[in-house]
Amino acid sequence: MREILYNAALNEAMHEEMSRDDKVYYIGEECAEDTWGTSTGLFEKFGKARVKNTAISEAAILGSSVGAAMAGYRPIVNLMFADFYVCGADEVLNKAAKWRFANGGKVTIPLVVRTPIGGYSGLGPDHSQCLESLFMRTPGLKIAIPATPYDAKGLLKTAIRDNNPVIFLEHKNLMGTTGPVPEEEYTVPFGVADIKRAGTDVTVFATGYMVKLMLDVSRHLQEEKGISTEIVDPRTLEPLDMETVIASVKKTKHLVIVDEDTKRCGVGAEIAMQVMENAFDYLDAPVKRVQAANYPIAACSVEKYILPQPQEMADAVMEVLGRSDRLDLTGKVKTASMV
Amino acid sequence: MKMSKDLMVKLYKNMVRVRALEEKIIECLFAGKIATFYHSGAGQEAPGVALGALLNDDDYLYYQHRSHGINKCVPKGVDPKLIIAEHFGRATGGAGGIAGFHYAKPELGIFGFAGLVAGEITLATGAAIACQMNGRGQVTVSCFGDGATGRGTVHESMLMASAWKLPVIFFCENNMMAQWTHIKLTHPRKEDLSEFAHYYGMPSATVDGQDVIAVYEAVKPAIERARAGEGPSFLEIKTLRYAGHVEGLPDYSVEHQGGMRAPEEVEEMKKRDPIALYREALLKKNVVTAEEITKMNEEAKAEMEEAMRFAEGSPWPARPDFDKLLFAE
Repeated sequence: MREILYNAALNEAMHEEMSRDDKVYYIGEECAEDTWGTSTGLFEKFGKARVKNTAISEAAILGSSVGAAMAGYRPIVNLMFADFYVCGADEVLNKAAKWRFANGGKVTIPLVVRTPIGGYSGLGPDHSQCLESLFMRTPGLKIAIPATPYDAKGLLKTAIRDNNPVIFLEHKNLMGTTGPVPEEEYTVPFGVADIKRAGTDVTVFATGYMVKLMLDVSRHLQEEKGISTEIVDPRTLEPLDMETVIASVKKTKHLVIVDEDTKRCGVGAEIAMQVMENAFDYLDAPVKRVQAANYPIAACSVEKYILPQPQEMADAVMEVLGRSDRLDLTGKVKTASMV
Repeated sequence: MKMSKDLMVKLYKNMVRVRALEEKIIECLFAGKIATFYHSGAGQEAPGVALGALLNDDDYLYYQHRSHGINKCVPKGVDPKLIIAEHFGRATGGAGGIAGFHYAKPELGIFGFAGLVAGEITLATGAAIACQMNGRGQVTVSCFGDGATGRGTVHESMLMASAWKLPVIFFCENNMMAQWTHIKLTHPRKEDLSEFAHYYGMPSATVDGQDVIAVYEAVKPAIERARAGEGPSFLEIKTLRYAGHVEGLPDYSVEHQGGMRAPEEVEEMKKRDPIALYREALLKKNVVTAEEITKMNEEAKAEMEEAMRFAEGSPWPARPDFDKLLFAE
């Protein structure tokens, strides 16, 4: 199978779905030439009526997209950084997520909000957040978070065809990664987790860029410590495939949750609690979380003291297995951070 | 402007229907039959009634909280039964009893209103994007009050609509009161709110909102302009609100802020009641007789009495299938 970049996979999904359905349009700040190279050729092919470059007006971009969706269109919003979401939060929390419910199911809101997330680029407090816990605690939003080019393309196509608001989180440090993507048509369904690495000793719940780091960490755990990790990537946080997570936990008896968003009241707390409720008796040790520390994300070299690090991931796996020895990953697994 | 007798009579009928529905809702609220609340729009009947007469079924109308949109939705064709039943929380209401005082009628281009002031404006801008992309000459009317002009959504939307020549009419009903706060405390410039439109490069007008014909005459060219693809317009409709922000609470604006709205001021306003003014004009021009006026008034009251009985007789909603409400198939 051919291998393509994550951003190229997103670009292909955009081209294919905009060609397939003329109700789909793309709107956002600099969306005609987005920072991450996912919009190549769209403006040339579809013109300004369907690739709408806007002023810096997050509320109008998000809100107008909800309005157009209710009026029969299928907008794809490009939010340049996930952090900018808060400028239009009312449009997402009170309108996109609620409007169908609050109007007795009389309207549908087919809307995709694509937004780059994540740190390890040294960009500091307003350009490094993930925010998936904010979206996840909001009933009425679907959330996709692809970790590979294959998932990026397949999930985006599903998102565009979905008749509901979908928050589509694309990690900045995955944009330049490559992976196999078939040339023929395919989609990836929502609510179906993918086992990114099969194993027997410990289940690791991971999303987005954490999947990539955890794959690297897992190789060292296997080679140097003989520990077999099973990485479960839910791919969508709503709907959430807990069945696959629980089945894996029942098999391995151990769970580590790796998530880049802030730890307190984060995704890890929710997953751990659901495991408590459904598989407590199967656990041989308390669940461990590796997440961003409860601080704003710092810039440059300081971000490494806040964002989840490969060493912490390895330590968590060793601890949850009750191992007193340590796997030293110094110089072995690098994040995308410069320093 | 030449108007048919039918149209002139329809405008009167709709104004008295709107007021009769409002009075019925308030009566039910104080009788303990309505669990939510009501934001009276008495005194502001004319603007929405004029609008309703100019819109087609497939035009979009986003209304704001004042009078819960009855002054616009009833003239656009929404059955008062659907509105009052929603206020009663019944299954037959415009949102199946789920929203309480919001209701939608997508077949008439009506998608409810936001709980946060100026929340609808971005949605209306999106409806206007849809109108433009449909290319069938549809328009969107984006209604809001003077209070909403304090929020960025109004300005972001006007900028977007202006840049893209969207077929939308920004319809600002200026009753000078944002909840209980007088506009002179929050808007330091003393000019008309239609001044806002100048920067956005859209035509604007300030209109006497107590005169239903004046509103009709101002809205008509704005709608024609939008239908012709020439872009948005801004209309400031200067109007009067007799009541406080919400029924059941005192009109704080009278009590506080240095007596900015003295009781006598409100009494003075009532001398420019849009229904009374229009009734006098119709009688003076011999468009209708006094008997016909009485008949229309009574018919409106009877219609709303029947609507209330319909609501009272309607069932409470069964526990909804919440998953289906939350997400579409």
